[in-house]
Formats: sequence, C-alpha cells, structure tokens
Amino acid sequence: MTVFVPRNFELLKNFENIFNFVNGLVDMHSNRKLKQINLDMTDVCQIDSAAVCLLLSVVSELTNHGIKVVGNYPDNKECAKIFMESGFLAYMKDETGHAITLDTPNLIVETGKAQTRNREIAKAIKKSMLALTGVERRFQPAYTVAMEICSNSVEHAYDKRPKHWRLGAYKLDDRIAFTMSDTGVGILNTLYRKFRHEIVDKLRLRDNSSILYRAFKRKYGSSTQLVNRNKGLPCILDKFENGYIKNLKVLTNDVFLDFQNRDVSRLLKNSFSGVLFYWEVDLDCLRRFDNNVIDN
Amino acid sequence: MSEIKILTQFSESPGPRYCRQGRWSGEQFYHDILNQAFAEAYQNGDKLILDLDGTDGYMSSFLDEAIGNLVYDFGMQVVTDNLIVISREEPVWKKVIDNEVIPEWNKYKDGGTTPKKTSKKNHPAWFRLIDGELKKGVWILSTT
Repeated sequence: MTVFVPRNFELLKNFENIFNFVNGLVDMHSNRKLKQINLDMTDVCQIDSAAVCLLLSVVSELTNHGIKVVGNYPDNKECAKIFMESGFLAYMKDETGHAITLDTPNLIVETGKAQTRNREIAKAIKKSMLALTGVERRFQPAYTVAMEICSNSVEHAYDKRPKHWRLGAYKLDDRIAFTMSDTGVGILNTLYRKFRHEIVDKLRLRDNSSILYRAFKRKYGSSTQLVNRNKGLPCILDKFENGYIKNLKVLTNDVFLDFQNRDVSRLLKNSFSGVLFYWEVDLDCLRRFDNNVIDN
Repeated sequence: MSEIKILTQFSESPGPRYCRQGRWSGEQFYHDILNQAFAEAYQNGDKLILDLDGTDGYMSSFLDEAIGNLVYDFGMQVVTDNLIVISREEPVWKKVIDNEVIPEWNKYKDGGTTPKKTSKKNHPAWFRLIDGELKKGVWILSTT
C-alpha cells in the first residue's frame, strides 16, 4: 500500500493535519493483511525535525506490528536535505530491504524500548552541544528533560504493547531543536488513570489543556499514596522557567501546550495517542545555566 | 566526614528510579552504595557528604528513590541531621531533596506504603535503623 505524506509536513505549524495523517497511519496496524507500506514523500515541500521524529515513532509502532515500512525522498531539495540530515533514512529500508546508511554529522537520533538509555542520551546531548558550540560538553538540564520524558514513556506510555521512544536533536541556525516522541497512551490518559478522583472531583470545569498544565505545576497526587511522585513534569517546567531550555511545546492526546506562548495552547480536533515534546537549546541557555553554578 | 561522589563511585550518567526501568537507577545506587555508606557514617558518629556534581545530570526520580529510601530506612530526623548534599552545578537538586523528597517520603512512610524493589534478584541485606539500633535484613522482596 502506498501512503502519501502531506505536502506541508511541518508538525509545529500544521499539527492538526499531521495528527490526522499520523492517526490514519497508526491505525493501519489493525489491517492484518497489510505487510508493507510505501511512504511516498515525493511531494513534501515543507518539513520540520519534530515531524520526522514523530513519523519515526509511527514507523516503529508499525514495525512492531510486523508491517515493513519503506520510503523515498522528497523532490524538494531542502526537504530532502532535512530528511537526510535528520537520520530518518537510517531507520528505513530501501526497496530491496536493505538498511540505508548515511553519515550525517548534525544528526543525533537515539531510540529505546523498554528501558531508558542514559549513556546514549548523554552522548547525544554532548554531541548536540558540539554542534552548537564547537566543544563537546555536558548540559545537565537537557539530560534531565530527556530522561524525564524517556522514563515516562518507559513507565506509563504503553499498556501491554512493545514500548519505544525516540529522541531527535537537530541543528538549526543558532540552536538545537530536540524532539522526543512515543506513540503510547498519552500523558492525559496516564493522569486520568492515576488521579481520576482528584481530576474529576475538583476540576470538573477545567479543560484538558488546563489539566495538563496543572500536572506540570504538580497539582495532582498529594491525596494519593504516591505523595512522593510526580516530580518529573515540574522538573521539566523548572528548566524552562529558568531559561535553560526554550520554546517548550507538548502535544499529547487532544492538547497542544505551548509554554513560550500559552495563548496559542489549545485543544486539538484530531486527538493524538502518544506524546511529543519539543524544546530548543541555544547559547543563551548555556550561559544562564553556567552563571547559576555556585563557585567553590 | 565520609563522602560519596556519584560521578566516580557510581555512574557518569545516573538513570531512572527503578532497576527495571534502566541502568544506574536510584534504587541500585541506594542498595549498592548509599545505604551502606550512610549506616557506616552513622555508626561512626560521622556525617555523610553526598556530592552530586560532575555527572551528565539527574532525573528527579533517581534522587527521589535514593534519598527517599534512606528516609524510609533511617527516619527523617536522622537523615536530616547526618546527610549533607552538595550540588553546586545544579543547586535546584538540593532544594528538591530538602523541601520535597525528605518530607514527602516521611509522609509516605507514615502512610504505611512500602517502597518497591525491582531488581531481578532480591537486593542483598541492607541496613535499617530500628529503635535506635542498626539492623540488617532483606526487608522488602523484589517484584519485577
């Protein structure tokens, strides 16, 4: 079966349409006769690294269901370059079934299954800092954010399905764009499952966008036995509020939450089963972090 | 004073909360290093310095599980009096430990909840302070 990837494949600007496409693609796993999908990207003329990361998550999901996914390049040279530099093709097979290997220096993509991969995530972040600053260095806030999201994927995201998560880091002009995605149940479903009592009883009038934001503010869990939990999302927010990461966006279930500009946060028409985090790191983030280190 | 430096004595890239979630977890750090070191320091009338600096970073649940189990096994007051956390690179972690992890695990313990152990085999016997006396045992069995 051939599936045409949307011409405008920029997730951060066109997420409604992209989710519509992605949902349709994921649903194909229920077709038991389907053995192979050809992703036709010929007409793609706009693309971003977040969309590539999400598409790879979907490919993993389909592969876990025994469906082989093959693809081609966009005709548009700029988009083809982004695809190649994103490392997307390294996870795809060509028409003869062989893995495509490309050396893409800007590109750091890490994947995992049922466990976090601390060392690999740390290496990916150091490599991305090399691309940003010319020097390989640690950047603890990026490690924290990536590990918090990864651990959520491993612990909560998949019910009785093979787990997988994906970290993409892509060098833009003066910054690194990070994307982390999974195709699990989504954060809101996890929140409802864990804190249904608190959410339903106290927050009847709130929409999912407010509920998700309140989870980042650690508003749930105090009345449960797990009083010590739920520090992960607040930690991510802390890194953002301190300016160690920028342009933080979260897409999960029917919510798009933009922390940089909360006015544009909204509910989605096409709900997405899974999570996509996007954030950026630039030199200003590194400066702010370094300035906050306490001298001996 | 005794000292533990996570970078050199445990891992450059500390991991998630539980052993089952990935390598170099908070659970593993507690059972491999922290419990024993804290018990020895306590026995010797020493304070224990826990130095977090120099690693690739932390996720909150690593610290929560490691320090939280200390509170569970030794009690909040003993931990507050005898553990000194150093986190110059990321001062936020000291605040999280002091203001959230320690009091919340105290509440968690009072609520009668038992910490999970998720290693493939049971952890070797570890220390617990009971009525002012250090005792060693496999207090909780692993369930992966």
